[in-house]
Amino acid sequence: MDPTLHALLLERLAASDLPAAAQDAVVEAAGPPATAPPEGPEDAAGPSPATLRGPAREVYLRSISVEGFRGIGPPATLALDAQPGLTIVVGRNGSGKSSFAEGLELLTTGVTKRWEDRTKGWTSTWQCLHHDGPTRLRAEFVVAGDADMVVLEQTWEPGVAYTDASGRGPVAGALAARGWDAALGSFRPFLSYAELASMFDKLTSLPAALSPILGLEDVDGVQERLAQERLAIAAEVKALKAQADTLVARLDPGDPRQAELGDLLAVRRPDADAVRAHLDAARAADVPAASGPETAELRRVAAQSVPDDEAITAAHAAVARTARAARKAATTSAARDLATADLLARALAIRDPSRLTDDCPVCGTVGVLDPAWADQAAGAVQALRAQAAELQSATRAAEAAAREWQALAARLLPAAAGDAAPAGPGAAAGDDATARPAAVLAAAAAIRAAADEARARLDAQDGAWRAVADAAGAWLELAARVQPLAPRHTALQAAEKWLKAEADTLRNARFAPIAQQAVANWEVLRHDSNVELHDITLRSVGRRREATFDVRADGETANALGVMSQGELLALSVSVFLPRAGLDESPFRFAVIDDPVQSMDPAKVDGLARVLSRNARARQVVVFTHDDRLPEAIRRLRLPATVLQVNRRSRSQVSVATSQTPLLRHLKDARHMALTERIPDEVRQRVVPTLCRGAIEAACAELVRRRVVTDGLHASAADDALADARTLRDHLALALLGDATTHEGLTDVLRTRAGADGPMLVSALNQAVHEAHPGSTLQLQERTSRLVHALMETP
Amino acid sequence: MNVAALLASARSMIDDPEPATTSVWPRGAAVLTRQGIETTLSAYWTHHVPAMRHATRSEQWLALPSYLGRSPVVPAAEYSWAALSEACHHRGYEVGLTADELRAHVQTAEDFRLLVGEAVVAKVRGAAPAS
Repeated sequence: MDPTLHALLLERLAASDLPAAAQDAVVEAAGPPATAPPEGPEDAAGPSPATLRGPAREVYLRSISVEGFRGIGPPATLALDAQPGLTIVVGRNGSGKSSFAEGLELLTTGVTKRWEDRTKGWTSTWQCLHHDGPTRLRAEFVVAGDADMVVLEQTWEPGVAYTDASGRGPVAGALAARGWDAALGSFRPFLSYAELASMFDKLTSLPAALSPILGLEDVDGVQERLAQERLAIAAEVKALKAQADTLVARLDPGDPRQAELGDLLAVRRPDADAVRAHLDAARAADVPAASGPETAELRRVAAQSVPDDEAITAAHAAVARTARAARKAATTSAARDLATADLLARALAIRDPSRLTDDCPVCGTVGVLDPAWADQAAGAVQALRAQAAELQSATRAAEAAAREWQALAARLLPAAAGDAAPAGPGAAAGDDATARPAAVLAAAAAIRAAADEARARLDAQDGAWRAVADAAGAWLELAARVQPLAPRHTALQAAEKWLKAEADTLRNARFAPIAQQAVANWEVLRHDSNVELHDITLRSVGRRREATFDVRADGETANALGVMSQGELLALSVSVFLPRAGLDESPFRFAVIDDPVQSMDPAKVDGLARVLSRNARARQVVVFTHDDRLPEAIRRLRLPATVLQVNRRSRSQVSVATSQTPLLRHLKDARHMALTERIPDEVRQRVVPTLCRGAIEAACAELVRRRVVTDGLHASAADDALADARTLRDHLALALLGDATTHEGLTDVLRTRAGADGPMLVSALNQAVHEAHPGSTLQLQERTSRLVHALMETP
Repeated sequence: MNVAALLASARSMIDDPEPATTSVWPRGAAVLTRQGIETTLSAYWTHHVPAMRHATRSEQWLALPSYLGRSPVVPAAEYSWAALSEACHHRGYEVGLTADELRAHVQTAEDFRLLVGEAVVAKVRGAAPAS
């Protein structure tokens, strides 16, 4: 940033009661001070120590040449005296005068205000209709103290847009090399009617137009940087909050882990540490421990093991199968078999092995118990016992299968039947064992389904938690970055607030000289308008800046833009524009105003003429106007001005002729008075010398203004010196010797510059102040004319 | 009607509007004020160089600074005369002068009357012993 401004800002910052953090924020945003721009080689040579020497590099306009642009076809040149003074360029509507003004604006800035935001219809015919060749704009500038002119020239081929930059390189380079490109934007030495008329369209237009020249863009930049950082933090805080809100919205209050997380996050300033602790705790304890009763039940349901359908069917089939086997085995009674086997075994035991045959101990039949019987009986015993064992085994198997089935049914059915009380095992067994395999299968299926669902729910719950935990982790990461910025945010807010107030103060301090001059201009311009302008101040309203006009209408405080007529607003625009364009910081000592007279009443035009004339004392002011009112006012007020006439013939042939200069007017008046027969000689002999002196003094003034440019004199100081010159010799000494107070050597210089008659004429004119000039007044006028032209022509 | 009376009439037309002069007072006041300035100008020349009566007004004004010196009142009076002359020309498209402007012109005319009055008195006094 600008080093001066930087230092000033730091100084004020130190004096402020802003907290240290906020001060730091301002210092950071301000950045380091820019190093002073390197001095040019011309400056290195060192300026001459003449007291009247002003700041170097002051730029005056020498000429504008236009070809094939708007109303100008063949090349036309508007030649100007590149020195302080007022030039009025008069031309009827359509004479091409505005083409000069707009051509200069386009050439130097690459655009024109008048065409900004215009439709194609406005801009497509920017090249002259009566011209086949390229459009060529050329302007010559004189830099005070430099012998060489600066020439800007750009050519556009036919048919291209005016914004076509293909030929702009040299112009842009020349402007940039001198820093004029930036200055053109800041000081805008052009003011078109469109710009004048719209300067007060909005309260913000004026501050916007003034902003660059107040030199506070650097402060604006600091403000912008502070605001950007603050907004960035605010955006992150907002994002953090939004992230927490999104997370809270998707939390499942049924999951206690999530419910607690929700409680932690759904507050204005969530405590990141508490959230982190909660996540850590949940992770460490692992999933089940953190479960509530509902989850425990889910877990129990999910954990149930149910035999598969095959096993159930098999169990049921086993009941039938074993029962069948048992029934089959039971066709012989096991007891009887065993009894028979016992009987046979006992009979075998009773039988006397010594006897081959024995009688039956049961029926007494004789001789039946022979060895064959014994073998048979022994076999029968064995078989009967085996049969009995088989029966017992089948019975036990059937009982076991039935028990198993019953147990299975008992286990599954109550669960499936929900709240139904389980039937007693004994009571239900038989029925269950035979009648309800389908029900058991269904119950098993239901239990399996419930378990599956419970498992799914448990999985989902865990998955959701993991996702929640991940999201909470991301939130924590952002929080870790964003939450520590809170103090910075507070500091930035304080810094911004301070800087805004400070910028307003600085802005108004910088604007004050412009405002004062504008008020002074208005005072002259308003003439006897009832609207008094006391002050103009700039203030910030939010991020906008507004101009506030302290205006009294008939002594009553009023809103400027309300009480002022369009003509008065134009006058106010000019009042503000001239000081802006004329700031000492601006390299441009010229100002070009296009048609400021529109919608002004005669008294305003007179006031405008006065203001222009005042401002032209130390500056080159070129005014384009479409009617005679301004030159008429200049004439009526006897203000020194050069009037140029722009004429346009057929096919856009434009020419410029000088119709009046201060010098010529005096000579013309003198000639008229010398020739008119309506006045007596005694008056003629007194008046003509006065007018001749006026002509020479006007020439001297021109010469002094010329020296402002050629010798780099300070324009205001030169103007003051002119105002202080009383006598004719004072004027001549100032113009020819550079000092009004010493006339030494004046006669010699006069003789060198204007011939032997020079000193004699001056003596004669001085003589005539005291007594009527005795000789021919016409001759006196002619001698004066020769002297004046000699003075003006010799360098 | 002498100059003071002319200017007083102009002033009253501006400051004490009568219903009868509703639409004409600006032009009326302008005419009276201009007449006051012209009468003053004529009075000066009548007393100093009577032959100047043949000169045009522009010539009379052009010659005046050579006689009355650098007083700012002279160019101010000339300006008022020119502005009032503009206003007196009856052109439909031109707006008349405002009350404030007219009042300022009357004041200038008054100043001019006083300046010329002093010059005339000095001339008469200076001439009296000689004649």
